[in-house]
Amino acid sequence: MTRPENTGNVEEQIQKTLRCLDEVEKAKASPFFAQRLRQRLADMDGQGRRGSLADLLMGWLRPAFVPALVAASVVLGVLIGSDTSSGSRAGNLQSFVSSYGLDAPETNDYFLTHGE
Amino acid sequence: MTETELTKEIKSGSARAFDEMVAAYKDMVVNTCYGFLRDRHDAEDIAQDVFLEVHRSIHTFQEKSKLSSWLYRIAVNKSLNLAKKKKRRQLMSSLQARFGGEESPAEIPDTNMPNPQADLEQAERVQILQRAIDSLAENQRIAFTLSKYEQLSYKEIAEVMATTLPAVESLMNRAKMNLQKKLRKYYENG
Repeated sequence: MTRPENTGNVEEQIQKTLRCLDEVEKAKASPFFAQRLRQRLADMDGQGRRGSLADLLMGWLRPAFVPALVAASVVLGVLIGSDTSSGSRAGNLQSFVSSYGLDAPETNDYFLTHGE
Repeated sequence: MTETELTKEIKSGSARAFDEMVAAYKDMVVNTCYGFLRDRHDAEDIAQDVFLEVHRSIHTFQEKSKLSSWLYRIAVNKSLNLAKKKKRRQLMSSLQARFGGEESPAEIPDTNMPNPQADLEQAERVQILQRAIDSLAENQRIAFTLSKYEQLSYKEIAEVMATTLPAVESLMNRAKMNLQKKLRKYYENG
């Protein structure tokens, strides 16, 4: 950078330079400052909430709860197994296939509908 | 609402009180950050971080000082941290440019002048002064910047810096003296 033309004495230059700060305008926040901040706070809250849900789930996996959870799963499995006959299983499978249209012939209906 | 009431409301989790505080202090925080960073985008980003920090740690604020002083303190710390990071990054890129043969990008001065081209000499003076301020000892730089950019009284600066009034007077005297010394050296060598 070039130095300002040194016409006056050095002291005058120094005083002129020091006075520059008196003329500096104050910086102001942009009009979207508060809006942006609110958005960032909302994002932070969301992360916090996700964190607390994860903490809650992890809480259930503490060693003290593990035997109880295993026992509950075994009991639930036995109850479901004893209640299901092979006939009803086949019926359930057929109704599942029909409900989701897995037995329908292959067509391009999906593309025709969405491709218009 | 007084500052004490506002603090109490924010501590109790009132979003309205927090918004009120942001509205009341956002310009002050942005200008303080600008005083240290001299880049409007950086100043705005750091000011956002200041308010996020306040939101996060308002429960640790013991109201021994004014809320505004606490805000100034956070703003100064965050701004200086970024200024240091930027300085390190600049140093690294200039070293890379020197040893790697790349050209470093031209520095665009943000002199905050209404029309820098209308007064190039003035813009240059501002840059010279800013460089001199940046090279002051940290506590002198903080006191001087708060005084000149935020027009805080010495008493207010003492509160922000958690020091005494005579200590601030001494810092300011030394800052002015050192600035004059640095500027004299610059102009005498020119």
